[in-house]
Amino acid sequence: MLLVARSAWAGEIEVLYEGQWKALKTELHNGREYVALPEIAKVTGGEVLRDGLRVKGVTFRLVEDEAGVVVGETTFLLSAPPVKQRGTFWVPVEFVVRALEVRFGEGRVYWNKSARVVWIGKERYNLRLLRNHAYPDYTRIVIEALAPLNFRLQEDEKSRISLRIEGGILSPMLSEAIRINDGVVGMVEPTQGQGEAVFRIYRDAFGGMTRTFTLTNPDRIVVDLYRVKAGFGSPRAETVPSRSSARAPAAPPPAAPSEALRTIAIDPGHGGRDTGAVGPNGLYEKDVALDIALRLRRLIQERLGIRVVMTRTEDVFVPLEERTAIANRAKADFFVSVHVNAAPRSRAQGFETYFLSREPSDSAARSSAIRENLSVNLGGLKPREEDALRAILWDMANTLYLKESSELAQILLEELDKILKVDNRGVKSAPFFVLMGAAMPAVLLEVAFISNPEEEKRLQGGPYKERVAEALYTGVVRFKDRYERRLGLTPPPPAGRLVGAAER
Amino acid sequence: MIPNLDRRLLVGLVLLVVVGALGFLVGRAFSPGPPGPQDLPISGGHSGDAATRRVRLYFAVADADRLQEEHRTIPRAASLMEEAKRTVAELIKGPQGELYATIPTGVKLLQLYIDGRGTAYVDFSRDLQANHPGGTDGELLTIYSIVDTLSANFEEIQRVKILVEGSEILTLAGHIDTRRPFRPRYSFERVR
Repeated sequence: MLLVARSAWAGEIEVLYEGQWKALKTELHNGREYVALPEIAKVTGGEVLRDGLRVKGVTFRLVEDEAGVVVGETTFLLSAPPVKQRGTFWVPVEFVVRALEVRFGEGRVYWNKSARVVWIGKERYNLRLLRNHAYPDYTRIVIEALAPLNFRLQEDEKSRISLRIEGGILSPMLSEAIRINDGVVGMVEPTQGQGEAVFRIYRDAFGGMTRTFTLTNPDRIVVDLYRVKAGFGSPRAETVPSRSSARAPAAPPPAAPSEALRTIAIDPGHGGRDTGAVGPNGLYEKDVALDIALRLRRLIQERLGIRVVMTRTEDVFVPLEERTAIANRAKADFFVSVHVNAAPRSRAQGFETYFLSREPSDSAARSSAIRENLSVNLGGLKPREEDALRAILWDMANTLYLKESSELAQILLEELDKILKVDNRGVKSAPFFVLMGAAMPAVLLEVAFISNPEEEKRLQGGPYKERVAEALYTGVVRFKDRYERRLGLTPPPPAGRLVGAAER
Repeated sequence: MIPNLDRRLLVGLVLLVVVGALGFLVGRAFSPGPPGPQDLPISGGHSGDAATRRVRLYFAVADADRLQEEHRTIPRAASLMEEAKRTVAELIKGPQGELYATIPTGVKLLQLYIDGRGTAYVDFSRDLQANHPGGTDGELLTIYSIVDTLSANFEEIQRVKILVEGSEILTLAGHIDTRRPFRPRYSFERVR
């Protein structure tokens, strides 16, 4: 038949470099995502050869159905073999990163898989990533470096220690705090200091032994933090903290993981090259959304003391899928996306709140959300069975979140209605891309119409935005109270646990 | 008037050529393969001999919370798809009365075809995204003015999938998921 597509369209990945960005189209072959060599040649300034690619004098040689790629004297392995289609080689997407590393140098190429963005930084980082794993007696934190680096471990306070790495430069993947909460370690917070990188490790309990050592190839710094236990014969700390004698002798056992609402994800809409709607006098939706979101964060942090995860805190472009992925990774309890509405040349004004509606035929969006966001370990299952099971889990989770999402939308609407003297346009539902992948109750707020000159004027000043943030804050408090009250009454675990528990 | 059988043949041929050419283009752009031309219905709404046809177009009301219809008269065409294209072309031109346009400026309809399962694929020029003023409601109005206009006038169309330059798009302006076809929805009613 004439119209059968030979391969499924998959999407694109973006390459950002020297202030410009290029999109590379990808295609699915045997369920994996591939990019064509000529596309890669465009972003690497390379030359396509009959049997591979040459970038800056380095040749990548490809053989069809052969996963090993010969580069000069060495070989690296692709996740799947290259395929030849329509006269060109197609290679798995990670090849793009390899080729860019040759062009720009390792340490300047950042590949954010879930955001589907590769960007080329000005500065070379040397601390690539952080992994953690909970063993029965201890939690291991591994920091992977590109070179051996000197470090020291110090105890800042009873429940916090700092790993200071001399000359360490954090990769942007390490820009956010990593929440562990396994009863030993609460959180690890990487920060970039002058001439050093610091990883602040917050323990879930006071004291407890630590052990550090290094591994090579690749260079790694390993920190083992032992569980606090009476009479526990842990190894001696190899790096003795300077104030170890001041350590509290007995520590309370770590509290059982609280069912309380602990983390909120706030998503300021749009950002960077995506301005969102633009008001008649030139005000950008992205700026208003960020301003209100930051105000809301401040109020929550100051008054409520729960953790706030932001999908962006400055004027940067964040792909839609990445926004819920950030919230999912942080195991946020709910997700609030802040937007400003627009309608062309109309007098529309006011606020409305939305939650996700999906049509049953929504399998494509659903399966991609499952792939990206549900990291359930379903060992022993065939990929197809695994997908089916994930789809069921995802559907169950979403049905459970739906009710909470609509309640959250209703509460936030009511609070906006109390404070704002403009049209209340109600709670609505629509198939929002940004809410699609959320493994938690999620809403999208349209707080005003930037396309209405009067509303735009109000949004230019701080007081109106502060009032909006106050209203949203009150709504968050109400939702939190309700959520926790309900937990106290009903024994089964809340919806948020279904996926949360399955995530690793 | 052309005898019935010949006309059906002609319609079939036109559809075959149009869909074939489009399918080739879309296939090249790696879009999901639309169902084949053998699935295509021959329009059931072509019994009258009149040279024109009255169609309903959906535009935004001032409050931007629902769509309202305006009427136009379009010349009859040899095929359902041709008439659907003419209807979308009228929608692009915008309202004549009190209502508000829903399609951004400069947008061109590139292609339109209908598969055997009642899904219309409507392919617009990139201006649909590039010139879109944004806003959730603005986006909903654009999407559903297209979807509702096609579904209300052509009973063969149950769902509408929006394409830009031959490819599937993720969203028009950052809000509504456009990876799947839409069913008609005439107002953005409050659910609570």
